[in-house]
Amino acid sequence: MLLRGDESRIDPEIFNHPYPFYRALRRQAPVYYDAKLDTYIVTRFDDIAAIMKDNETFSLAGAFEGTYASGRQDEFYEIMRREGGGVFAAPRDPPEHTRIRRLMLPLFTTRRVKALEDRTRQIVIELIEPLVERGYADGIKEIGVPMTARIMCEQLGLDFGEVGAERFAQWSRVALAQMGRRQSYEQMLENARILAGKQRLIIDTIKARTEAPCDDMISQLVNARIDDDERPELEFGEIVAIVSALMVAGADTTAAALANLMLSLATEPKLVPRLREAAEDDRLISRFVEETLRLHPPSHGLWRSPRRDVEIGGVTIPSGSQVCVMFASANDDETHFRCPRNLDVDRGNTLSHLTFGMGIHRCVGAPLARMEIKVAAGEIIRRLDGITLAIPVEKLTYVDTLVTQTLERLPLTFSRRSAGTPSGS
Amino acid sequence: MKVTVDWDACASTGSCVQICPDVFTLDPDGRLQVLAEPDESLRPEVAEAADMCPNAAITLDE
Repeated sequence: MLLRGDESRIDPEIFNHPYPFYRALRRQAPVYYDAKLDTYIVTRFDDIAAIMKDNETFSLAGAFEGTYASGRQDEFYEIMRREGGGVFAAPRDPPEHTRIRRLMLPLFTTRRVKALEDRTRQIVIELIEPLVERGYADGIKEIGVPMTARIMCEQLGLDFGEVGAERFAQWSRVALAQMGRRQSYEQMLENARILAGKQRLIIDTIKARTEAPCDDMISQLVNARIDDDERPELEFGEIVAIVSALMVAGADTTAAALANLMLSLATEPKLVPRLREAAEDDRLISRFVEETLRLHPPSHGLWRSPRRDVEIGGVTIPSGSQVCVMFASANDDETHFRCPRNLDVDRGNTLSHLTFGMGIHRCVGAPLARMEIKVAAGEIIRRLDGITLAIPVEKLTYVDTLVTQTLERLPLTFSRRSAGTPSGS
Repeated sequence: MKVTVDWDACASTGSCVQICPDVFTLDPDGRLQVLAEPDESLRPEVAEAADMCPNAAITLDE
């Protein structure tokens, strides 16, 4: 692909098949001004890594200030104040961000996540068993979304019976719509009202757990403490903002990642017998999960904003502009990963992918996401045979948001794997 | 057991803090603090932290 210079990440043909665009950018314009998005897109692994490590120059808060709520923040916040109980935020840049980060890291420790494994497995089995019987399913709508919605609700301490998978998914959708200017003004108003309802539920639950804590995540946030003399705990408003963010970041992305993994199982059938033979080899499944995360990251890129004019890859990025660090392109960078579009479970450096980001903003929930995807992958490989994509792969489309790369639908057919099926067949 | 961190590679991600909080912590400035010679019983967790470090910044000696 030869760039003209007026291409945009949101051009329809690029939106659903962005990898040739990323490759062209890495070679021809590694720091590219996307005029339609008014954003500098950075595509080389090393440039992205340098940006992610330089938190003095590159602000996270600044990247969202100008574009949030389609540029109509005043009206958005007015609705949140009137109908949603207030406007709340958690600091996004150091030094305040460091305090939040230290209070949050213990929520997702490997030890804690291990304790959730049995319950996760139970949820996965309950969800996929009826589908195995039926022989077809939408991998995103019927597996990824309901599974992660249920796990996230239970973990946070929200009543899944009351919320339901559909409303939970809607909350994610309308929250993501606030970033990247992909909604109309009327949609913004409607979405703000939906988010106000979500926030009222969060506030009520935090108040209830403050009175009577239990062992859910909201109680842990209420009771989290660090060795800070002045501010050892999270403030009420910070907890509201964190829970609200976790409901999006903790469910939608994992659902997308799981759907992408099922797509890999459908398009790389040779891999399935090897994964089964190694059912006892936990590490092979881990490497498979990690490699699908590298190949198909749920979030292709996120935003930063420089506090001063800064030169990256020979291009001067002006202070205050929008910069998109394209993690999906870093994962596809041939100078870092050999034959990057190949799914290779024996790759030595898969773990250095940037799917979870890098540095101080790296996904705090990564251990939980990995566990959920791995448990689900194990059960799917164990129970399903002949997973096949029911539409041509070129017909797959993605949800209209710039923050996540989530399949709109993933129609799959499969059969139940009988206990006696030889693993090599 | 001796734990070493390559400070040029470390990006203060906190991945190791989540895997082995007895050995790795973040200080109030967000910098990683390491217990240099932890008890032998922590070896499996420290080894996992080294394996999972996204920047391969942690090494474990005898």
